[in-house]
Amino acid sequence: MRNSIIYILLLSSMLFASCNDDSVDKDNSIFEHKEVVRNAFDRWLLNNYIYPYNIDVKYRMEDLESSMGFILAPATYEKSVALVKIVKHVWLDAYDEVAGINFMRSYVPRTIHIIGSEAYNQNGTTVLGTAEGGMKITLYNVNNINPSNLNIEQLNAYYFRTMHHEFAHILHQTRNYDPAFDRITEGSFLSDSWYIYQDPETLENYLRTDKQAWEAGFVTPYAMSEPREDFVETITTYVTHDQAYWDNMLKEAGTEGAKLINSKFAVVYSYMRDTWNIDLTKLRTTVLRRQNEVLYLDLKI
Amino acid sequence: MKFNIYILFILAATSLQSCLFQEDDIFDKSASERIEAAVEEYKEVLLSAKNGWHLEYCPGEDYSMGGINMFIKFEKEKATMTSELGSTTSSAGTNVTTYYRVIPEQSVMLTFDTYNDIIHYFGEPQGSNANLQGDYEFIIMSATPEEVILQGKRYKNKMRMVPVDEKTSWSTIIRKLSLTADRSFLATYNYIINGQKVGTAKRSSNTNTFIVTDNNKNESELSFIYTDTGFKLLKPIYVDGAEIKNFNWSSTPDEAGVFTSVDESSASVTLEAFYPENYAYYADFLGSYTMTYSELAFDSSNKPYFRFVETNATLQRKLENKSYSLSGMPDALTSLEISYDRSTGAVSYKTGTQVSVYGDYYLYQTIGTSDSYMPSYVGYNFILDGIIEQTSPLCIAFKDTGWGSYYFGEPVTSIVIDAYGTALPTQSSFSGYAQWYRDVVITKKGN
Repeated sequence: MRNSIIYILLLSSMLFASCNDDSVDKDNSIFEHKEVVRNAFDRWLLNNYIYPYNIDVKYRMEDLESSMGFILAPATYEKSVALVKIVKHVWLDAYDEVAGINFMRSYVPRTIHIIGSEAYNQNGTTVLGTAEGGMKITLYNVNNINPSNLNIEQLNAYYFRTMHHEFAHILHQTRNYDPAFDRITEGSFLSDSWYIYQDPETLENYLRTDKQAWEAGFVTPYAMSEPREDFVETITTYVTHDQAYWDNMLKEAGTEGAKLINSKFAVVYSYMRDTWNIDLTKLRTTVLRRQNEVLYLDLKI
Repeated sequence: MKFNIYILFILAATSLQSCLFQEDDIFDKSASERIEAAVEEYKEVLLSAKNGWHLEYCPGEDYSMGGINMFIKFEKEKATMTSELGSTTSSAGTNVTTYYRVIPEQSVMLTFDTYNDIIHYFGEPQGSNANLQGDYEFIIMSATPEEVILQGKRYKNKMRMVPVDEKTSWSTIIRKLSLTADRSFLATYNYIINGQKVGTAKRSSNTNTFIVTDNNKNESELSFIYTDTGFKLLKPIYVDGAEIKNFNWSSTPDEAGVFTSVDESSASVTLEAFYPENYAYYADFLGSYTMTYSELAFDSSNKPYFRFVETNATLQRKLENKSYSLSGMPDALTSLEISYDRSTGAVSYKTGTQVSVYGDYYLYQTIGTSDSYMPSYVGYNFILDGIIEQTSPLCIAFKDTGWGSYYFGEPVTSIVIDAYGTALPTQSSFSGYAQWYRDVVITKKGN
């Protein structure tokens, strides 16, 4: 035993030998010192995203930043400009208004990556956006925007919802919500087959409609994929729709569905109020007002 | 004891080190300095072509789609580009501007990183997670002012780029290229090696490839790109060990024309165009016809039924060598567009064509069965072939020989016109069908 210890000591003394006495080359930096060339949009981003929030908007596609499993194409310059201006107005500025700019500075993702084409899953559904570790949000299908003929509903479905959705992920990834939320509809999550509705009598498969999700106690079909998606979908659906939509959803959901949605909403509402000091109803009023103001924004550079 | 032997081995392995330090740098500069220098050098090269570069763009893994001639002029930040094909929204030779960057990544990479429909059309997803396998990111393999070799990052095709002569405009080159394609319009060729016919070749309609069928019915593919004198094979073929790559076109008034290999070699390969059986010229189809079909109608209790109609119709010139308009149907809101394919001498009916504007409505061609149809906004391109049932008098039936029945799950029998409130068909501006013709047959009247 003692022998072994001596051997080990001997060994380690030999292993940590070094022969190199080169000094560190401090004269030649591996970083380049070139002036960065900025176009008009880059300069706008500097003043509206980088200086105030430290957000890097990547509108020129970098495939190293994107998922290699998807086949993707970049966004056009003009459509990126329009989207980035809209996102600032309905998302960043809305939260600023309600929660204060320092809140946003602390929790916004550091990168927003813009992709022109849609991202198709193998099952044929498309991905609207992704959030990674609270650091990055990717928005897809930006080439579908028509800046000269904006359609608020389409913008809402594709981009506003996505920003609110992904940002809500960042919030709960930072401070988790009450785990009681996950148990409200514990047995109903469907993972990847959230979009499939199976008729209980004929056993035929259909695309799940909103109403079918509502009746099951979820605000959207996608909320049925997993609890944390359910959580952020509840926030997103609430802040991007008016009270009439919400009331109608509860009515269509039936007694059982409405009861489930209401108990989820209670958790969501108090989480936002107690954890982040954000009144969701106030946020909704602000978001809805700003969504309509988009039509009057200058979407060009 | 055994344990000690192991320890001895380990001791030997670790203690027999050398301090003779011979790690000479192979390069004078660090890796990052060298790649930065390469980026700067390649940028200079790209900017050096005053009249831009001629790129042989090759989408499709292993060159499977053939080559497309593109022209790119690099400015400091942006590039101007065009192609012999044009794009989905513009005609051949229309210029687009696009951002590009030369950045260090897997060696030095040239990337077109904002969307333009000339090049990204080949790389964007087409309704699912699949595309036409076209790259828009390229590794620069070598770059001199005389020649740049690029390799597509994802699909790995190597492509060549040479500077365009300063005295020649891009449009002149594109015109010459399209002349070659125009003159060799036939799709069918005899494949001849050293004077011996060894098979036939058919040029594909959507890609720049020939499918060669040899005398033993084995198929192979030749991918090519048009040149101003003929075409060039993207992957050379070898005859008796000699490389065959470049072909020139020549046509004489009484022959269909021939592509002849012009490489310095004792072997010769020729592709000799021929008119296939049943080939008909554009003018052959023009004229008066008797047209029969069943039209969707409603009886007095508003039940739909098909009513047989026989009427006079005419097939008139629309775009020479490209299309006709078929008119004469009673109560029709529009004439139909019938396409002519000069390469095969056949006619067909294509979906997705806007045929006319009727009041506030835009009318589009689509297809259907006896009880359902595909709205145009779905966007699939289907073709009903004009099958020549008999030649004297000429009798043509429009039938689905392709994928239509897979879409519907039952035979496609009908030509349907649907209507939209906007110039582009969308689900929200869709307002239903306007016309429904089943089992359309036209028979030419005697002179």
